[in-house]
Amino acid sequence: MKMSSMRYILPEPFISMKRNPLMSLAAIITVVITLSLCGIFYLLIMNIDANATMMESAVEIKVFIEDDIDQAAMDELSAAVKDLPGVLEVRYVSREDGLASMAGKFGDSSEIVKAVDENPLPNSYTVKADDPDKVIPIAKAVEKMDHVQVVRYGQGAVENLFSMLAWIRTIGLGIMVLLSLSAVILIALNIRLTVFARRAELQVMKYVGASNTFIVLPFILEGILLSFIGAAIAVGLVLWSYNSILAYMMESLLFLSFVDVGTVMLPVTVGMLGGGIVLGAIGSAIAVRRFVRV
Amino acid sequence: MSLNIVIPAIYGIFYGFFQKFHSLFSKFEKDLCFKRRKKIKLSIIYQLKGGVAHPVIHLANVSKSYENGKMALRDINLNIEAGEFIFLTGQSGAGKSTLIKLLFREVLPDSGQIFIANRSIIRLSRKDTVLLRRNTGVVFQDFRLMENKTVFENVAFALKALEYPWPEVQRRVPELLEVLGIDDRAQAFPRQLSGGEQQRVALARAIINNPPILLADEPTGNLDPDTSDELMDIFRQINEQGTTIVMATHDKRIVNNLNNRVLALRKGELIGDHVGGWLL
Repeated sequence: MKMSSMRYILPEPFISMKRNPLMSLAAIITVVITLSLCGIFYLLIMNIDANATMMESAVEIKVFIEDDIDQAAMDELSAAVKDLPGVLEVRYVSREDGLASMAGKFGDSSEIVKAVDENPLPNSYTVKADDPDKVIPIAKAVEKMDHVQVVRYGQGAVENLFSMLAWIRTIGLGIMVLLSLSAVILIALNIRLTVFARRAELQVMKYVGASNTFIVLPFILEGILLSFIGAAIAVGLVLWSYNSILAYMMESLLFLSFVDVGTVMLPVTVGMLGGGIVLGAIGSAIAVRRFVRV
Repeated sequence: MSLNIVIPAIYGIFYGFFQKFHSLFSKFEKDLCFKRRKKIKLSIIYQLKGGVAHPVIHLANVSKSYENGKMALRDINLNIEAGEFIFLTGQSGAGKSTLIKLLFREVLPDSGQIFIANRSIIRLSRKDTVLLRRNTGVVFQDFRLMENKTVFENVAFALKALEYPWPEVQRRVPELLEVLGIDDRAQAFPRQLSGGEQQRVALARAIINNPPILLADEPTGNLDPDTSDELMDIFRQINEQGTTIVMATHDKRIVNNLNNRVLALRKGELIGDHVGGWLL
């Protein structure tokens, strides 16, 4: 096919959209609804993941050390802990600091702390891991070192938290995949219907000796155009509504953290527009091919 | 390395390239020949071929069954010369439409050979099928216009698909519409036209690129007698300009009005081949 034919092909999708307004509208609405659902769920997952990550990174290991060791042994221990793989930070907490922070935690009932004559707390290290998965191995390794009295990282609770978060992530991913799949099927079916309604037209195009490219290309371009419009509307809808409820949610749900609109803007826009265009192109190509076999 | 090795080696490489390009070029040339036929009447090509009057359409032992296994056509042998205007008669289900469909490769025969311009159309590449259709205009009983396109666009589509430049499209379409007497309906949609007008648009679409063969499947089937006569007059004029026409019809009146060759089909068999008037 000659490139000069493009001047005949390129305007076709726009003309056809104008001439089949209802069918075009139906296709656009399908794309808007399915892609919006995907987008909303993506934002949900992003926020759940952000909160999960926050909870995970809040997990710390407390290493309580024996009282009667000298400075050299302490330095040696802290160096050894620091050398463990995955250790991000080792902070020394003296028994006085420990008591002060404990008093802070009790808040109004800090008299309880005052009631204690002598500081019962040992000196300790607070160890942070660079990856939540490494918390348990680090704790196990530190436990075996000399001069370590006891290691605490919320044994039991942390394991439960981690496995729960892993489940939530897996289920979220599964639903995301299902939603995308249903979007693919819905959009493809819709395009098939659109093409089916116009199969007589395709037949005629064959009769006059139009090449396959000349017949198929306008339909593919139309599929791309319609899903691009639909995706653009969906992107606008999702980002705008997220932005408008974000401030409200931040005020009322203080204990949760929310992902900023700016950080999700790019992945949402690129993902939805790109996905929409690819879906439209592939969907219409497959649908038209069925009817144009020479 | 001595020169008497290097030079033949270089020559060999160039010769390989030469052969490659040569075969490519001759293929290209063949395509060009086939394309050129859309502008030259087939009859002229045949006269050039040593003056032997080859048939434009030649069917040899063609059989075709319907999807339900019933025979649509049985052992059809047929020669159609360039410039003929042939009526294909017979009752519904006699195989007229199937024969027409075979001629523009909408369906393929179960057995037998079909030659158009001395070329078998049984095994054609997709590209050659497209070229065959460009050389064959088709008109149907139910018009088959593109509902979402105006009259002008319907006719222009046939030229656009054949990559005619836009100024030529703009010149040729109104010209033909005027010849057919529907130039005032150019911007109307098919649903706004009468049956006769719609059939003229379909006819315009079929002949706009001046194909050497025109196939018509009951073109007057949905039209009243007066409109039919007007349309038949147009067909006759097209034929006079050298176009070979094969028209399936069960209208005794129009067959008797013209003194043309008539092929009669009954239950898929060719039972009559004579000139002038309704046989059965």
